[in-house]
Amino acid sequence: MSARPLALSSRIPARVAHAGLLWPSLGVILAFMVAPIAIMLTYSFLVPGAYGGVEWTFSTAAYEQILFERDFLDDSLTFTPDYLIIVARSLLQATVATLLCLVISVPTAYYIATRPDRVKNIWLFLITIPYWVNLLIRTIALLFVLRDDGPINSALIDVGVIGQPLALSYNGFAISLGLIYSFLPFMVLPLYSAFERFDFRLLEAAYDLYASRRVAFFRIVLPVMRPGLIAGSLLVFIPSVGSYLAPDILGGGKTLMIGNLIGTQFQAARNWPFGAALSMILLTITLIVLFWLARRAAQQQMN
Amino acid sequence: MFGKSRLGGFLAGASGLFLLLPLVAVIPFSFTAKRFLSMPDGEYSLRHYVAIFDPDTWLASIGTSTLVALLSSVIATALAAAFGIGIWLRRPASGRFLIGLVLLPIIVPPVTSAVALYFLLAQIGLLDTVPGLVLSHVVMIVPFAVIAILGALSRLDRNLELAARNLGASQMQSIIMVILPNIRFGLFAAWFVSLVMSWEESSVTLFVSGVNVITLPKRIWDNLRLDLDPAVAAISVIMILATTLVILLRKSET
Amino acid sequence: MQRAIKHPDPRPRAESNIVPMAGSDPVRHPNSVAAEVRNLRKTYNAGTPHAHEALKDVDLSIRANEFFTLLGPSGCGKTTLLRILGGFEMLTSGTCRIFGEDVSRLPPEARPVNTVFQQYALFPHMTVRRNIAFGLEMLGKPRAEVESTVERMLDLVHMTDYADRRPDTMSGGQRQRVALARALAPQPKLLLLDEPLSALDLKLRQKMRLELKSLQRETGITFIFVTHDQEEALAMSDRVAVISNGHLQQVGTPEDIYEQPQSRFVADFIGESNLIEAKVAGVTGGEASLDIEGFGKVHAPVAERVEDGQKVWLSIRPERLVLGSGDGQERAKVTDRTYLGNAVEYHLHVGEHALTARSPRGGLRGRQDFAPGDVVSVGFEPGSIKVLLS
Repeated sequence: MSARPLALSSRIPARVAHAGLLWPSLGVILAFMVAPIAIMLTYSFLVPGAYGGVEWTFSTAAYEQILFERDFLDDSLTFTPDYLIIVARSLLQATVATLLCLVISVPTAYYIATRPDRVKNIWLFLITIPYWVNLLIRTIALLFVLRDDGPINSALIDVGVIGQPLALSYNGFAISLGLIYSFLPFMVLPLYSAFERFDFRLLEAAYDLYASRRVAFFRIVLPVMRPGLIAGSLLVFIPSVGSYLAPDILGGGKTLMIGNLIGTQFQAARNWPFGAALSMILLTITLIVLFWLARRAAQQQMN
Repeated sequence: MFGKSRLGGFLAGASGLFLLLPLVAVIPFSFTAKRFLSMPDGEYSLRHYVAIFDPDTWLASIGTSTLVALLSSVIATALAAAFGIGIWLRRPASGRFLIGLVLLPIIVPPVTSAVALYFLLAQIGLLDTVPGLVLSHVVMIVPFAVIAILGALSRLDRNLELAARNLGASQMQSIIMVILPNIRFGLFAAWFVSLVMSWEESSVTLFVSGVNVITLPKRIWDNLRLDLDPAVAAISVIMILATTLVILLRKSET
Repeated sequence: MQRAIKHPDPRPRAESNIVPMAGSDPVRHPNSVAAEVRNLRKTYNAGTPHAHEALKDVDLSIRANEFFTLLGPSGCGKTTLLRILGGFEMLTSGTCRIFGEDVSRLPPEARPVNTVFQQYALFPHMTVRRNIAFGLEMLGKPRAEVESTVERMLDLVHMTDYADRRPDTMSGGQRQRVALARALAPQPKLLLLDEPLSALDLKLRQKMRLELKSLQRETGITFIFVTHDQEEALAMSDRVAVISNGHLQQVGTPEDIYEQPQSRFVADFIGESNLIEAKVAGVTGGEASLDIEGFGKVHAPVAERVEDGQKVWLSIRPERLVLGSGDGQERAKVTDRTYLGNAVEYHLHVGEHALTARSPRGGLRGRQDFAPGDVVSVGFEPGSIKVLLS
């Protein structure tokens, strides 16, 4: 390349210099993200130590524990759906949160993207404030709204619609709301930028070719925006499925999700291998969803 | 498209309200005169704001969080800048893969990252220490810094670098004297995003620290679980206001 | 070669089952009116401080089978007019008819009109074939018919080899052809083309001009073409409407527009023109005597009533100025000479006036060549002076 004669003037060869730029970051990721996951995978096949930690004995007990209960006396395994229900609940909660975020965000993002610049900036500002505020504080803030003495219940009681406060907090509903509340900006913002880039002449072209509004939306707008929709869905689904704060704070610790179950293994239960196995399962679920959606996005590009 | 976008307008308004209402709703709780978390009963007090200035608890945690955020955001920005410039200069065939690798912490569920980092830090004896926490934060926020810097670099004219080299600058000189000054806004954005991300990091923080090193999110968490201290509401109000102020300042700058 | 075509019913239907309407075939009614606008006004942001009148009282009638061009500088309202015909903009007042039917309030999908968009607006997630089939599918055509029509369209625009490619893998010219095929596939009564050639380079643009023109003849569909390029307009159109500042300036054949401009704007915008201020110094019959300061008197026909002493503008095309020497009438000084390959252009000063003369190759047709500094006589070819009142 043309840079070759120039590179001679510098003392360090360009190849080495460029590698020197890349390696610190790659090293950090390999040492503090890839290696720990490998450790985690290893630990998931060990047995728990008496006071936390692990003992170096190979075992698949941690994975068996998810499906079966081991009898103390005769070591026999009986199927128990308890943990499976928690995993299923996590998937369900995350899927519902993702779908609801999609349904809310598509018209919202469309509306914001089609406003004049000044109005648009105000909307974006409103959407980004919660994006920046600490997730923990946001979750607590939502709890304040849903509490028995929170503004919703107070208002409803003042108006006389209800006599007793509605049970808005410490249940599954509150968790769903919490997940949506936590991650809605992650959906609105990518969809907003997808709508910003969307060429609205495509819509005109569709109408020009006799498409109704509905058909144009489903056959033109959604397919063209698919990368944005998929990006937004991933950004909501991934943190939702492993969510730790919302179920704990808003669910009152009664309705567990997989994130809480994992957390417990490092606190009260002190079962590192089981925590590691659950984390591996969560990671696997996430990667499956990720690759499935990424492939759908890629297929889109191919056909 | 959506019926003259009336539905869009309604949903945008509803979403905006939904997102902002809780942030506003915390405010009254912070002025309660009672010792436990509740709506003020006609009696207002600033005592919980005063409580924040206790140097042994809240103030100490604010200090820890600030220290960790400053250290990890500077490290993350430096790493991300080097990585971004390396990719930009070399455009390696494996570029997409390398970028994907660096973005891994975004893809891995936070709680999984937390568990994995917990094991690693336990192994090397850095659990519940400031260096351990800084390392964890750097890993978690590097992807965001990389995204900001790659964005800035994608808008940079390649001829600038060629011109610098053509005028006799070494690779290092061209990076320091030409590339870095031209992506300074990207660098600032990367640092700012890292700072905020580190400051508000709770999922990993709650796992890898908590006894010796108590960050602000950790203290809020503990207070919420143990004694429902209204200081949580007060600190929330302060943090929401501070965040809003910073965003407004940044907006007015640009 | 003309092909009998059918047209979708312009009336709105709940679903996309618009059926061909019999008896209104423009091919069989060569003198019918394809599109007509009356007292058309379009005001953006009406009633606000940002109100902008894009079209001011436009009357226009476009004949069936015509290649009709809306020509004007950017921002003149030509695209607005096209978008009103297509249904993408609602008119503020007036009426808009397509083949006799009032479509003023109809949405785009209910009009028998298709459009070739400026940047083509091809659906990026669909292949060429799917793009072309889209309109037919929306009309609920049977599959066999859709397929055969798509093949015919691919053949018509020579894109059969690219049928399964995606738009983003193709060149500007190829996309242009796909956009044409897509818009022609539903066999519209009216094809609207919004600056379709502006994204192409010069050579390709000239080639596509010919293709468009022959496509129009082949299909017999009325084309309404928007452009700011006067050369394009003159080369392709049966008739041209010149629009400026929301007003219709002049409608006519390319020859009319070029030879008989009716306003200073048209004279200046179409080709080049020397515009000279003059005073009326008497009218006899249909001919006026006109006094040009610093030059003398000239004579030219006037169509409208003018009064003695009235200020008017004269328009003379550069190629119709005749330069000479040795006749004792030398009053103009050559200030510059530019060689243009197929012609030579002279810049002249006559009194206060700056004129441009163009001679097809210096010295040809017995004309002499001149150099800067020469003093020459200036004559006008018979009938070359147009008197303009506005």
